[in-house]
Amino acid sequence: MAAVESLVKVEEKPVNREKTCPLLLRVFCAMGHHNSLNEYFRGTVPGNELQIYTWMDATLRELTGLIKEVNIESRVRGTTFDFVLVTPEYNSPRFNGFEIGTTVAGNRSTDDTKTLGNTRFTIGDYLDVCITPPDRFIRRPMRY
Amino acid sequence: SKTPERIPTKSLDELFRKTKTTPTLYWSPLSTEQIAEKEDQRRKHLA
Amino acid sequence: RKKERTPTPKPCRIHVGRLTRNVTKEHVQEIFSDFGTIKEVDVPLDRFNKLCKGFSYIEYTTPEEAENAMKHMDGGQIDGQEITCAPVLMPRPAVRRSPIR
Repeated sequence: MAAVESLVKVEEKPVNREKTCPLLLRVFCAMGHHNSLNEYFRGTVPGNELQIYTWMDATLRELTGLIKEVNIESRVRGTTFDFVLVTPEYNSPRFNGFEIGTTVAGNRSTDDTKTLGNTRFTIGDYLDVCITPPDRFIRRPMRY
Repeated sequence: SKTPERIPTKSLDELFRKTKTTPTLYWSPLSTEQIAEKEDQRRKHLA
Repeated sequence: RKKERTPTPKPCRIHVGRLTRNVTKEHVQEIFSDFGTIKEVDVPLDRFNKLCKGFSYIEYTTPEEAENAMKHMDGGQIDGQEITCAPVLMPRPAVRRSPIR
C-alpha cells in the first residue's frame, strides 16, 4: 500500500549544476493508473522507461515538464501527474511505493516546488507516474 | 533522455564524463585544481 | 641478530564507497579503467534485488595505478553522488617466533 509522504526534509540550497554531476532518474509512466509494485520485484522494471538526467534540487514541476516533452497526450491542460517514489524494501525482494506529490498541466499545485531532495529520494530510486487525462471523471484511487 | 529547464550553459557532455555502459551514467574525476588543493591540505596536515 | 623488516607492500587494491544503486560492475570497470589496468573488480550486490550495495573493491596491477585512481576519484562523482576511494591495507603477515627453551 502506498503511504502519503509529507515534507521529510527542509529546503535545501540549490545545486550547482555545472559542478555537480547529474543523476540518472528512471521514470515509469502509465495512463490512468500506476504500475503495480510487483513489476519492480527483484530489481526488474516495467516497460516504457523514460531516463531523465537531473539533480536533487529538481522540482516536480520541472520533472512534469520533461515528461510532457516526450508524452504528447499529457500536455492537455488539466492532466494530472501523480508521482510515486519506488524504492527497495530492506532485506526483501519487494519494492515499496511512497506518494510524493501531484502536479497538474496548466495549473498550479502546492507540490510544484517540491524537490527530489525534499522527499526521501535516494539516487537509484525510481519514479512511477500515473498520468490522468482531464476528461476522466473518476480519478484512479490514490492507494494501490 | 532529458535534462531539466535550468540546465548549465555548457552541455552536460562538456562538463562531465559519461559511460558507454548502459544505462549511461555521468561521472567526474576531481579537477586538477581540486587535486592540487587536496595535496596541499595533506601537506599542511603532515607539517 | 638484527631483525630485518620488509617494507610494507604498497596496496594495489582500493575500496570505492558511496556508489548509487544505478551503478553496475560494468560501470565501475569502465570508469576505473581510465586510471590503470584492472586486475579484478568486485561489486557486491544485494542478495534480494541484485542491485549494487554501494561499494566496490578494485585491484590494479600496480600500486601506482591504485594511487592514480585514488588521486583522481576520492571525492570524485559518479551518478550525481560524491564517492570515496581509499586503499585497502592488508595486514602484515605475523612473524613467527621460535619458542624459547
